[in-house]
Amino acid sequence: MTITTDSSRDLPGREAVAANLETFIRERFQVKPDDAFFGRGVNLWEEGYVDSAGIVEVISHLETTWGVRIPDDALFDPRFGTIEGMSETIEELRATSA
Amino acid sequence: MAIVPLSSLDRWLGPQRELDRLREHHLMRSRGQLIDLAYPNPDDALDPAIRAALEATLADVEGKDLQYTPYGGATVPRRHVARSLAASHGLSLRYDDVVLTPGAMSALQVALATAADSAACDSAAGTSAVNEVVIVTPCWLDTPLYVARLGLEPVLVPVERPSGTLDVDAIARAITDRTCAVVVVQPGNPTGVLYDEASLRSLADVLTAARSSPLLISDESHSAYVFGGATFVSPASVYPRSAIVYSFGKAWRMQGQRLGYVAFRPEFRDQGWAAKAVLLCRAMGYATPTAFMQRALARLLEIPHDLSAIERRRARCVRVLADAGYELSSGRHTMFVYGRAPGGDALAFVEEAANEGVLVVPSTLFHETGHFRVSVTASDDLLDTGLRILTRLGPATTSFEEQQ
Repeated sequence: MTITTDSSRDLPGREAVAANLETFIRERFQVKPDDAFFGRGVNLWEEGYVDSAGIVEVISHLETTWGVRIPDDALFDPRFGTIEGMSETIEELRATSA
Repeated sequence: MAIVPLSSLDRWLGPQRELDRLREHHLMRSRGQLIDLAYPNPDDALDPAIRAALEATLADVEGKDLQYTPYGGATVPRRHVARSLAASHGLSLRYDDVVLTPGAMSALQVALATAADSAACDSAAGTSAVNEVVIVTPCWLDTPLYVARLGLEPVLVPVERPSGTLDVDAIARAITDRTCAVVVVQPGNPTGVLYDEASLRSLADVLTAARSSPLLISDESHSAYVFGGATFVSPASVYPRSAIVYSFGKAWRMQGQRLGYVAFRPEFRDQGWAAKAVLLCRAMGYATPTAFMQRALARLLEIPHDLSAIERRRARCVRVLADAGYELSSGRHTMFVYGRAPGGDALAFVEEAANEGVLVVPSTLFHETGHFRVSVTASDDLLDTGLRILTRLGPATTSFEEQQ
């Protein structure tokens, strides 16, 4: 699987993070294009889009792609269940480290 | 729950053993030329679309994709099954309502064990023992065996004759305060009868009124084999306390790859039945399906079933056997044709057929007397050879050639 991230690195916005993450999750976790339940606000763990092994892959993808280290309190924050929430977290972390 | 020794299960183990003995004997006698119309192993080549899906899955494998998956299966394929059932059954299932199993046999075991465990909890809580399972017969051969092995009591309720439809009044009479589950196969194997919505709703009324709130286990392993544009109605869609048992292998014609599931309706979510089923998989030592088949599932679900060859062979088998004077089940579905054994003795007829070179299944395996089952999954040539022999043994005097 190839996820292009170089150009995204230069885009600090939440939208870029969310778009990149959505693409990664759709491809890696077999989300069908016409899955009406799927969206950036859906809880990925509770709705079975990402399993326990997959969580590690998601964290690794976010940290590698955006050059941040996600602290434990952010990992266990309820926001860290959705693409929207994760994107907010990454945006905040990048703003803090800038 | 006490362990039930095999020695006390002979009533349920015996018929299959008898068929296996017969098969082995006649395979040797015929030097391997016995026409096997008993077991539904397809002679047709693997569907190219299915082959392509399997190859694409393998090409995509990376990392730990083929390592252990959790009891109950990996989350992603469970979600795909839940979505598929949402579309086909109109049930708002989630991934954790679905428990993946190596085929329908273990799915049925897990469903029964979950019902038994919950009933045992009820019994321990002070209600009387809830340990009976009502099974509509003729049924899949080992359903009563599984029930008895779990320390439960199989209560067999025959379908209406000659229609083969559900005898809801008889089921109502069989249900007691001790009934923990009812097993229905839709469409019926071996009869091929598709139960209609009215009879299923009547059954649901009976179950709703039952004081023991039994689990309805809807075995839908043959639901892909519904022909002629008939509408499949799931028993689980009309009664909330239901679990669906399914095997993908039959529709994909690769039964040996062992991929199935039991899905509990959302009404059980608060009671944690699916979670209990996952724990029972662990407690009973059931593995999940292979990681590879779980990964392939999403692609395979996209492929429409082309079972037209089976439908055509089934129609041909019905026509030939009817012309030969056999009294056949009115069922029009599944990969089987079911008929009354000339002379009335199922095993004697099957022995006679095997002596002539064709193996079919005596209805004793399905816990009914006097019938036999023909599988139509063999190639056209083998099926014709088998039908030629069965025509000779039929009540009518017309020869196979005269029928053509």
